[in-house]
Amino acid sequence: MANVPVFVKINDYKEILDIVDVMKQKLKETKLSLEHIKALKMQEDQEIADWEKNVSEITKRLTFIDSAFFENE
Amino acid sequence: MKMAKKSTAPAEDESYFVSIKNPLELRKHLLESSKKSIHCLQNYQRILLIREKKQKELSELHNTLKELAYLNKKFNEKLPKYSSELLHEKKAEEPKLEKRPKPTASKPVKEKTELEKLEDSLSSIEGKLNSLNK
Repeated sequence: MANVPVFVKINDYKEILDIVDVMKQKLKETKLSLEHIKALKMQEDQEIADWEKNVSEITKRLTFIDSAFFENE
Repeated sequence: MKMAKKSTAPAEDESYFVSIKNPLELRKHLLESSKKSIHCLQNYQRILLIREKKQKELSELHNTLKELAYLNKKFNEKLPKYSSELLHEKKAEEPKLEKRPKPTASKPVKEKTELEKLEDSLSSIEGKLNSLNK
């Protein structure tokens, strides 16, 4: 296809500029949403890591309790 | 572990007791376990809250992206259309596709999923891009 210049009606041109402005705003919102989602994901990962730590702590303590009750002298 | 019969109990009551070494230590471990179990439940509740927030953010992101796609479409519509001559030239260049037999009418038409629809849109855009690059 030939790369020839095209001409846009002045009314359409104004509308295009408006559309581009709104698109810029929407892109900003998208970036912000992505940042929030990323932060929430990190929080969730931290909670899961803490969860894992707590479960392993319970396991350790239960092993002690178990041995105290059932260990033969 | 030591076992002892309770001396004060009546003869028919055969109660035996087990002695536990370090009862304080054991109690401490038991309480710590209870504490950690409650921490686990707190973790769970916090994760639920985080996921709720994340779902809300994802939904907002989805809406923004849909608006962006709509604006893109509008933008495209505002640009001048291709001239028919150029389109005819393009059609002449394209090789003819082999005709495939039409699928039987008896088959139920499967409704496309959102992903399939997006895949179709992508193919259409890629087709347009390829035609511009030629």
